[in-house]
Amino acid sequence: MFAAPAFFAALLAIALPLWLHRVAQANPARHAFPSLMLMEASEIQRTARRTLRYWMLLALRCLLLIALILAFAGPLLPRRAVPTVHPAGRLHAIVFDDSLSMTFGDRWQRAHAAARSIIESARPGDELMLVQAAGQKIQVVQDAVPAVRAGNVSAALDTIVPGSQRLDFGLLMSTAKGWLGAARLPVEFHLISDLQQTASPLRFADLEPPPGTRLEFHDVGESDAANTYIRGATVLNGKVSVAVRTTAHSNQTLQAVAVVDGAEVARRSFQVGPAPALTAAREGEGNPLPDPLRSTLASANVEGVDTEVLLELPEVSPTPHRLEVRLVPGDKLAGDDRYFVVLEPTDPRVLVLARANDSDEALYATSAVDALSAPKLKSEVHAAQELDLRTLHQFATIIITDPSALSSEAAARIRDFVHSGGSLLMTLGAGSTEGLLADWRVRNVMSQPTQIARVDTTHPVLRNATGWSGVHMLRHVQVVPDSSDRVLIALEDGAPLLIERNLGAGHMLVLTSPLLREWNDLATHPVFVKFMADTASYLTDAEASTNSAQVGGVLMTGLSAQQGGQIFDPKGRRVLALGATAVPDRIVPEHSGFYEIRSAGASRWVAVNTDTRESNLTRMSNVALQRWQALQKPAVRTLGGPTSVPVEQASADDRASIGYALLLACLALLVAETIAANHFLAVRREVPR
Amino acid sequence: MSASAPALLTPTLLASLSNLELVARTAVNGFLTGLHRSPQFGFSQEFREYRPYVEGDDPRFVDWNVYARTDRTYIRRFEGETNTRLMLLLDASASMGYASSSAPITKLTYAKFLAAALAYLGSRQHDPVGLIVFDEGVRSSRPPTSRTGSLQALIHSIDATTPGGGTSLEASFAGFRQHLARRSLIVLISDLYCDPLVLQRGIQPLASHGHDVVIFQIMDRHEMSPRFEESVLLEDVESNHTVNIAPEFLKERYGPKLQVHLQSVRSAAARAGADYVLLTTDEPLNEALRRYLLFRERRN
Repeated sequence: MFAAPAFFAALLAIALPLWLHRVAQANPARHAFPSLMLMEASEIQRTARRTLRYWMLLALRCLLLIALILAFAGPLLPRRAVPTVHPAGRLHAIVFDDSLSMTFGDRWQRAHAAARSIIESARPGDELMLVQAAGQKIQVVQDAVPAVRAGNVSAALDTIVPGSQRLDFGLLMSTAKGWLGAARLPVEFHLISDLQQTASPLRFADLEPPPGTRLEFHDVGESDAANTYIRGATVLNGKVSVAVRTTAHSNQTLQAVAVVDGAEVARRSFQVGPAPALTAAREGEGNPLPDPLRSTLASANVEGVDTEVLLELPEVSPTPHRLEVRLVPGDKLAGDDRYFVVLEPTDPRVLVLARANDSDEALYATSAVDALSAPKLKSEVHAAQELDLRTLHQFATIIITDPSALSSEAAARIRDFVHSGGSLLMTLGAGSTEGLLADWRVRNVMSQPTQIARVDTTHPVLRNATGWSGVHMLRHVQVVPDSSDRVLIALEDGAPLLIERNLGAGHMLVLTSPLLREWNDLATHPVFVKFMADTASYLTDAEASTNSAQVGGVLMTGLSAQQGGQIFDPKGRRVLALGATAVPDRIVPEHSGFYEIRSAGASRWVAVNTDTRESNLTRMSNVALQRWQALQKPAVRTLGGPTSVPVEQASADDRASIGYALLLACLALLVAETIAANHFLAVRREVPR
Repeated sequence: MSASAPALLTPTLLASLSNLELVARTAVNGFLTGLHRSPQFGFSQEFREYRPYVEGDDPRFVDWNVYARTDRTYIRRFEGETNTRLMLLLDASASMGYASSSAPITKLTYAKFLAAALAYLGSRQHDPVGLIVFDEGVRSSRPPTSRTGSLQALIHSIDATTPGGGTSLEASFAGFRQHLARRSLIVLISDLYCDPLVLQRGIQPLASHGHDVVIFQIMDRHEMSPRFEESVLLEDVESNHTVNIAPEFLKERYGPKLQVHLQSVRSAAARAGADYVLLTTDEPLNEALRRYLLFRERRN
């Protein structure tokens, strides 16, 4: 069988050396000579020796071509037909758990020792590979290498540092086939881990290892590990409520310390514990044995005891601040003894400017904005003529339902507001084209009923847009967009309904039909509220105002390729490479602490905390581990009797390509042909006495 | 001959020198250095006698002290000075431009080295030296002279010679006689791919007119014994004719044919009264220079 049999057409190229040899045969070498006075013409003679040399060179060239063509054709042989040097060899896949819980006590050191023991016990013919497992990525630190190069694996082991993320065994096993690759040898899967109960997936079947893999656990955990950690911290009315949990079986006296922007502001002593000891259930006493699957989830809620500590916070300026809560003294797992919170001012304000406070448009807009729960916004309605323009900077965004009601001064101030980074949603109606619309190409009002033809769902305000096609447009203002404008919604006649334009550091969205019944029925459709929510979120950067995240989770940065930006981790290191051409709108933080996100003219903090599931050090039960190992399946089933399970068809993975070996053969033939041809040509040159 | 002299005269070393005059000086001085250390030769530059100055003599050799005392011009004469007129006949046909892959230089280059060395040697002995370059006929000629600067001009003419067309000794010898008015020592440098009888017929008149002839036949080592492992197509560099040659012919029959030809040439030279020397392009020049001096001594 061949992977690419079409290459056999290239066998026609063998005609080339055949032709060249025939040509060369008929044309002896030509040499200059001073005088032919003493020479006598003679016939071309070929000795048997020369004939043999000719055929040998021709054969080498033909073999070289055939081997090259075969190599490209990709011949496949069954694996059993490909001899291996060491049939008893194994691939030892060392999977190193570097989640947060592995930093408890001396688990890290024991894990290293276990890994080195596996490396040193590898025999000739074995292969070793090293995998680092934590968080959302399973990283192959060292690809499979023969055991003779175990030094490479040891060196790679030294590069693994303790992490802060959570390991999910389900993710580990479901991706194993990918990072193991097409292993030539049987695989021994060495999982070096504290085998945390909370690392188990929801579906036990997700723990199934790849077929043909032998699973071996190297447990570095302790059966009675106790941990005290902060589960969360909530700020309300000038106080921070710290939730502390402990699994220690003794009473502990600790202190909770609040630090704001690096300065300690509060400290309080408290007592926590002891956690109740789990009683061992025995069969026959009327208590059924707990289901080992369910116990992996339920026991997380059974162990440990909680307490709440309240700390008074001082008054701080209405700007974002970094609050860190610490437990003093820390315990053997220091990573969960700190909790981070960003203190931010109250919810963003939205200004709704209308011709009159009680207009329908204002009502629709404020109702939609106030109905939002995420983001939580506060709207204020003002008549266009009554607005105190000095307060514009207090608002995160402005919604203008009737731009023609704005004075020229108000229009100029609002333009400046947008220009300096503000945002604006404006609905057009019949009226003046001056003021804010001075540089817009506003044409006539179109009174023909039409419908929406195109919606740009790649834009954040329309990402979840459904139902636009049901909106009836009775009238709209015809606007000719500039080349730099982005048309987000277009009508059947191609006219834009929703346009986005950037103005300086800010941007504006323009709806070419007002929220009035005489113009459309948009406000009566469910899509209107969703549209207002997404628009408000987009205009106020609410999506980007997420100020908390989890290690290993997805953090929306709010950055865009147009604006650019940079992210700094808790240690002040740049997260985005300086040479990166694309600015990601989301990252996966790998450390706990405060991340700083800087974009054009703005900077904000995000508090990243560890996943509290990692703080629960309860180990998987032995029953669960046994059932996990029982999930192993062999690679190939053997053929049995008539009632046996049907034989699996050999898959492409069970075939080995010998193309590489053929390429090596090509190389050897090329060297031989070069030497033979060079000698043959040298022979044809004159040979001095 | 000292052990260092042959090293100075090898064609490979001479070919590395920058110009032909330097080649000539190196070859001759190296040869003479060895000569002075040899008891066999008494060649020297020691003063022998005065003779009256006649028109045409080189004024450099006028003894002005004698003139101051006697008001008469006398020319110094030295040991070895015989006032021999030396005429160099240089074959510049296409066959002389041949060099095998193992040879350091072409036959023509070797011939030029030899001609320049002989010219320099003759100049040192105050002999007037001339040059005729020929291939199918006389290509250029310079009459013998010992004037100041004539050596450099002669060597420049030799250096400028390049391989030309075919070879016609018969036509060339006919042209020689026009340029050889006075009795001279004629040195013919050629590969002599010709009928030996033609050579004899060409030399005999010269000898009968009182000229002394030395023939230097230049050949490449490989053309004397060519070896090919299989049939080759040989192309004549003068006529461009080609002939297919079997290696067996080269190995078994070409050598004897060549020896017969060389012997014929030697015999023809002897019958014509000329001296004959066979040289290959890998030989040092000292043998050629030695034979020349011997011949010159015998002549005087």
